[in-house]
Amino acid sequence: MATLSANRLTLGYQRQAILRELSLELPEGRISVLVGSNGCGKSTLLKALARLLTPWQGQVALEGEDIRQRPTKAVARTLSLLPQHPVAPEGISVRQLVGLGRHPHQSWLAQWSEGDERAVEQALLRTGLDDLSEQRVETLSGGQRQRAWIAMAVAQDTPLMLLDEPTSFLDLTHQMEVLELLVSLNRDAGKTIVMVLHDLNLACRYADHIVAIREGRVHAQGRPQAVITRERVKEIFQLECRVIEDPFFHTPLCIPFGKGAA
Amino acid sequence: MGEARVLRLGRLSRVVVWRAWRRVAVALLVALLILLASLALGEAALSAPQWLAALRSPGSGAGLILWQLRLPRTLLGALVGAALALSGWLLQQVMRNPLASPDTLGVTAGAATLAVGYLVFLAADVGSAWMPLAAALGALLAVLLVMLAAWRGGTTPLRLVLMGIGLSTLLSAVTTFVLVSSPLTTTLSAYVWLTGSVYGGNWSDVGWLAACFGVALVALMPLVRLALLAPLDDGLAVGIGVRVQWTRTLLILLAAGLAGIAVAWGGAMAFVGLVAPHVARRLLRQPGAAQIAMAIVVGASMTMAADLAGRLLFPPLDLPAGLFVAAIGAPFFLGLMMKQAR
Amino acid sequence: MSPRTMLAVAGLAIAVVVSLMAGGHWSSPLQVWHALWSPSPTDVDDLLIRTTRMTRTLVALTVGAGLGVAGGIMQTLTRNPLASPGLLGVNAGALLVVVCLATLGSGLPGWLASGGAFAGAALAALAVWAIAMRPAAPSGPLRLILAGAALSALFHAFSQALLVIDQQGLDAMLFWLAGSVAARPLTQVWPLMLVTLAVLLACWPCLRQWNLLAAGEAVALGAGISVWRLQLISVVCVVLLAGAAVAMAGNIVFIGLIVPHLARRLAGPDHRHWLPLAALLGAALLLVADVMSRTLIPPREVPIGVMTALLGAPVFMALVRRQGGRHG
Repeated sequence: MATLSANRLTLGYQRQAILRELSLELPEGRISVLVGSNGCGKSTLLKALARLLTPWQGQVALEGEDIRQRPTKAVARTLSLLPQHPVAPEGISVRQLVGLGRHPHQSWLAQWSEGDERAVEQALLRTGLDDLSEQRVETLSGGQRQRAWIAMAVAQDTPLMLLDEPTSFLDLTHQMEVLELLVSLNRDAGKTIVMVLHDLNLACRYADHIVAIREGRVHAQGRPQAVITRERVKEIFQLECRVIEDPFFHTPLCIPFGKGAA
Repeated sequence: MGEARVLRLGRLSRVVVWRAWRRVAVALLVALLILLASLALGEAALSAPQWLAALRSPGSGAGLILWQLRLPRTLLGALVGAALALSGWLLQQVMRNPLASPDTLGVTAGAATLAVGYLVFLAADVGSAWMPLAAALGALLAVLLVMLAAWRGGTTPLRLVLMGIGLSTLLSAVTTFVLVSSPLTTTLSAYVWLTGSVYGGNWSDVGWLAACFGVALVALMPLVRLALLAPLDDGLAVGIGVRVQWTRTLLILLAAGLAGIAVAWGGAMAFVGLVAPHVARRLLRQPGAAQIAMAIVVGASMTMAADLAGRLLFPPLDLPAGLFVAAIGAPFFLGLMMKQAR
Repeated sequence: MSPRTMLAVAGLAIAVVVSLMAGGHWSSPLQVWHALWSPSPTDVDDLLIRTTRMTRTLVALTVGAGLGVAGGIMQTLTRNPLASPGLLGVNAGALLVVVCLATLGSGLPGWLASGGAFAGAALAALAVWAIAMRPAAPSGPLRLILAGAALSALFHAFSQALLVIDQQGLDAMLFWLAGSVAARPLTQVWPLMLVTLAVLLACWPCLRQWNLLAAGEAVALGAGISVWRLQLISVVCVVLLAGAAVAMAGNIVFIGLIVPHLARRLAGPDHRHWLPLAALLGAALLLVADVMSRTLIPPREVPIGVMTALLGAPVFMALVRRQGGRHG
């Protein structure tokens, strides 16, 4: 098991700070979802958690240790990342793409061990891509492609997975497919999952823990029922809404209103 | 993965794609044929028995031609092509763009500036023996400058290429200025060098270049895996534990070193570095060690063939190989661009 | 006229006067005035100002304006801030044709060399257009630039090769490579100047349409513009402007690249404002470069193509550093 936390994190681009003294602890073995309006810094936070960005101040701690002090390959054996719009190298097959995830477990000597082969096989099965494994990635549909990327992260075999908007540009069916897959990874394999999602209602349905970001700080966090209320949504998104209970899943359901209504 | 086989021996494990290596072997055979043709053909025409006799007695007149003129020159050409092709392959991986080449990073321009400067200002006093050193130094300096200029808490392929083009233009202007203000004969020999030629290559050149190339190959060994991952997004690469900036810097320096030594001994044969990796990719679609080997073999064959063509096609003239490299490369390149534009 | 435009015009006027003054030995402004309005046929200075310096000033003005506008149009057309005649291989193409001509026959009349360069630049621009300059290429700025660089390298390789086979072209080659606004008498360059001027004037009605094209082909189409025709006109303009500039002065880099950026920074994104300013700035900048090339290492001259590269490359690299940005 692996814990991930941010400790008084300040960072940004150029001279503009995006995150300001942000502290956050992510619950182990759960699905955490970062939500917030555009430009609030949730993607930046995810990148910082994945060590893609260097903090100006503060630190990200993985298993209690500064993530930047540890060898990046060792980190990659604990934490995998799916960026927002990943681009596959041209002409690569699904199996090869998934195999890339094994890099942190390989060395110059051992470039394709039996463990590697097993992990790739399992990742393909788990994501339902075993039939498509010899196809080239660019021939896949959007949903299949996203599953291939997730399979790569699965093959990396890490207790922690970070995903930046894994459902963007997918239609509703494929959004559900991807989220169901992540839930099964969490329930069956005990993986800690941290992701950014745009759709508040899907976030509520699938998250164990919601982190609402506003202006570079953690505005609220906790169970969806506790975080997603009418007042909070107004503070986070500057949007009037009503929050009711989803009649089927009993999670909060946010119904947005226009400016004039409500 | 077709005929991929996994070799495992204790902790050691490798994936070997036999079919790919078979193709490399065929390409190598073709390269050897070109080498033999290059030994056999030339101004002094020899019959087959004469040729065999000459091959066996290096001391005879014909033997001298073979062993001291044709062989070192051909080998030099092969090494130059091989180094440029490898350099181009590496850069196309690192820059994530099939149009990148040693030219793009200012390697050729840097080498040309110092080499022409040496030719104009120093050659009269110290002789031309040190010119390869000047060229290699220029190549390396230019790339270092480009990396420095593009560094802002790390580099990106786009910034590297733009800086490379900016610096290249600047350096070409300086070279032009030096050429304009120097006597015409010097200018002309500078142009022959700029076109790229292995004319007059001798065994000591071959030895030096082979040694440098060997060192570069050894240095590449542990980097091959990383070079294959270079086309990945920075985010993805970091995610699977690649030290992106460190890898990129190492690979670029290696590529620059390779191009630098190639240009130092063979002049600016611009197109080998651009075209040979393409041909290799065409022959072997799957990226991997075999593709690297293929690029090297193709590069070597291209320069050897170009050198041979330069010697044979217009008999009294011994034209620089760079000319034919361009002549082969141009249509290929244009075709590629047309295809990409669609 | 906005204050900025007036400032640009004033700067240009000063540059013109300085250009008429500068040289092996400097003339006073008074002397320039004298030479312009009441020249005496015996005064050597007057003669110098009215012939050599006047010619090169006029050539620099037209070439600078032409390159500035050509670069600007190319950048709008490709929606790539790095497009320019120099980087995309137009200059190298012109060079190749000139060297070809020089190799074919030595005693070519001046107008043929001139026309050859013109045709070469035009051909190269067309080639670049066909291959690389597809409007709104989806694959980002890098591909276009690399394609241009490779195309330049290709043209150069052939020029060098021709030169090695036959040395006739060496002089021509060096002249075009180094660039010069001084080497041609007015009698040879005036048709090219006319072409430039005519094209510059012809651009006027397109300015508003370019604004829409810059927002995207779909937007322009939606606004009722015949996109295809506008693109064709733009390409013809670029070909003529760049061709004439190269034919007059050889390989002059970076003016076409940097001037549009400066102009946009000063006058904002509206083509009706910045494109005319680009013409003024291009002319002024090239004049300044020419004055510097004459005065930097007297009695010799730094070729102007070299001068613009020395001035422009650092500016270009600084631009890239500032905004060539994180989006690799």
